[in-house]
Parts: sequence; structure tokens; C-alpha cells
Amino acid sequence: MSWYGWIPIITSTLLVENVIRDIRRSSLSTETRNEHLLLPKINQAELIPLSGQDKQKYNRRFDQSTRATMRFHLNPASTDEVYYYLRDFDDKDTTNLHRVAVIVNNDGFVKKVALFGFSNPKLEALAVIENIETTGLMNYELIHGEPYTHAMQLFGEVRDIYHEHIYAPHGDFALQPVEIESNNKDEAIKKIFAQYQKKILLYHSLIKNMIHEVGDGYGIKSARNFENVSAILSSAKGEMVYARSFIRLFNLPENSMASINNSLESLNILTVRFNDLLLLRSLLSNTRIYIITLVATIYAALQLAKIVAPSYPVIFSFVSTIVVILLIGYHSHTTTKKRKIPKITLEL
Amino acid sequence: MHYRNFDLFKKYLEGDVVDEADKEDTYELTSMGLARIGFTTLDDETRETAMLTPLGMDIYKREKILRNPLKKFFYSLANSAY
Repeated sequence: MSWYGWIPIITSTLLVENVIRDIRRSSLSTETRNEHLLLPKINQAELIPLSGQDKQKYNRRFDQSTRATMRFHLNPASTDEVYYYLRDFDDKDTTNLHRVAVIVNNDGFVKKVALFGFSNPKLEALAVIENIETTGLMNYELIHGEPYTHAMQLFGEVRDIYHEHIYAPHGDFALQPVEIESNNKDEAIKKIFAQYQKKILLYHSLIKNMIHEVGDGYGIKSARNFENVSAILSSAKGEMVYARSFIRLFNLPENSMASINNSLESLNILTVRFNDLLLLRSLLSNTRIYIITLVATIYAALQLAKIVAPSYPVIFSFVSTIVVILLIGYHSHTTTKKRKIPKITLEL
Repeated sequence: MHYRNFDLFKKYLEGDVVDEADKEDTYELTSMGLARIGFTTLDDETRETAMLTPLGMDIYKREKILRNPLKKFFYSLANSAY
């Protein structure tokens, strides 16, 4: 059995060199020349910055004997580079961390990836990467560990190295790896693309429901809710853009591209509807502010009338409110009136 | 949102083990960035775990309000303009 996963790219090829150069630059060095520490990946964050003191503590977590134990299982070549870091895989007990080790060869491709326990660096899972194509398609074998659970997490670690995660938080699986018998690459591509097709329905169902909610007269119109709809809309569109890239990279049939394009068009229509609702909300908020200002003006005018014209308080407050409204109206007229465009006469 | 997923949202709010029957629904949440998937070891057995992302938490909160008529009334009163 072989595993395939796609590292999403929108470029024509996987930019391996740039990624590895950035990783090297951000890593912490160890006493051994080819071994580096990456910052911990905790709390759904990409990398956690550490203070000077914490860096020393972090270094001690990966002392020479611990690294030697981990290296024993990985058996790297003398030219390979090994990266170590801590990661929280456990969602039930977030204090339960794991050690991750990644071997990168001279060309910048990951060769092996392994997970170890934290308190006892015992090997929990190991995968050997057979091939990472320039299209981002990765083929690997699970040598040790649970067939699905570990295979998925190990793929996630390699993907996160090469893929700058834009549309979803760290630790998610927008696209899952697939298990294929007898190295059938075409079947793997089909299975990965099927996930995108499923997503078309999932996103539309979710977005339609959320837009209906913000459009409902009694719906929740909080700014947070609007922000969430916007976030999901951009995620959905982003994923469809990646799907188009997938189709082009693997030369899938024309009808695959048509289905993704239709989905993008439909998402654009939903975006227009959402923008209309957003504009409506903003206009109605202005009306609400206007009514509150009017009530406050009448109240203030009444209070003033009791002092200035105690015999005719209602008439005085009415007149003063009209004056204030006219002044506000004149001000908005002068500030929003059309500018006179100087006429240009052509001299022939 | 698929309303059948509401119980899953509640379950994964603070992270929990993924049951065999919930796997497909959990993967759906994960594929849209509403939950993340990890693993834990219980009695020497590796089990998948899931936890809501901040976006997933917001959607769960919204869904909770919509399901409570009293809360829905007050929220719509506070946030609605018409």
C-alpha cells in the first residue's frame, strides 16, 4: 500500500529552494553542523517565537543524547540535514506534546519524517518519502505507525514545510492524503480531486445558510457574523483557485475545469449578495444613528427651553430642533455637493 | 451549516476523541477549516482527536444562539437594524 498527498501550489512548480532557505534562516542551530531546531508549532499557530531564555530551554529539550536516539531510527546520510521541533497533535490533552524529526536531502526534498514521544523519545510513526514531484504530488510509505491516523499527520508535517498555509489554520486537512494499492498514480489524482468536488457542495451549503441568516430580518447581524461569512467566502474561493491549479497541473478532463469554474462563478454571485447585505446594514445603521441624534436634540432643546423660554418650551424646542436639522442638512449638502469641474476650451 | 453537525461542534469545542461513526462528518468540518485533527494515545491505542478552530468556534456560538429562541430574540434586537 502506498500513500499519496498533494501539497497545494498555485505556482507552476513547487518552490523547494526558497522554502528550505527560509527554514534554514529561521531555525536554531545545534552543536552538530547538519542538525537544526525549528520553533515549536503549538496552538494552531505556524511557529511560536521564543525569547532568548526560552531558546536555551528549548535547546535543552533536544540535547545530544535525545537527538542521537531520534537519529538512530532515521539513519540520515552525511549530506542530509535533520530538523527537529515540538508539536501539539493531541487535541484532548494539549499539554501532551510530540517531537518531530524531518530529514531533508541536498536538493531540498524531504526524505523521511518521524514522530516521537516527548518525555520518552520513543518512535511512534515513521514515513519514507518515495517522491515529491514538482507538481506538489507526494508519494510515501508508512513504515511505522497507525495506517490512517499517523499517515495523515506525517503528510501534514511535510505539507506544512512547503506550503505556506493561507486559507486555513495549521493542523487542518483541507485535502487529505489517499491510500492507493500498487502505486496507481492516476487513481490517487482522481481520489484527491474528488475531495475538491465534494467541497463544492459543502461550501455552498454552508455559505448559503450563513448568507440567508444575515439577510433574515431577525437574523444575527453582528460584525463578527459578517466577518465569518467573509472568511468562509474567501476560503471557498481560495480553494477553488487551488482546484483549478490542480486540474492544470495534472491535465484533468475539461469537464473538471468546467465544474470548478461554475462553482467559482456561483461563489461570486453569493459574494455580490453578501456585499449588498453588508451595504444595507451599513445604511440602516446610519438611520439608527440619525434617529438617536434627533431624540437627543429634542431632549436637549426641551431642557434649554425651560431656562430660555419657560412660557413656550414646546414651541422653542420644536424650532431649535428644526434649526439643528437644517444646519446638519446644510453641512452635509456643502460637504457632499458636486465639485464644479473647470471647463476646458480647446484652442484650435 | 449542516444542522446534524451541531452535536459535533459541541463535542469538539474543547477537543475530544473522534468516534468511528463521526469520522466522515469530522473530515467534512476539517476540510473547510472549521476543525483540526490530531491524535492521542489511550491505553496504547492511537485514536484521532479533533478540536474546533477559532472560525469553527464562532460558527458553533452562532448556531447555539439560533437554537435558543430567547437568545435569538435578544441578539437580533441588539444587532438588527430592521
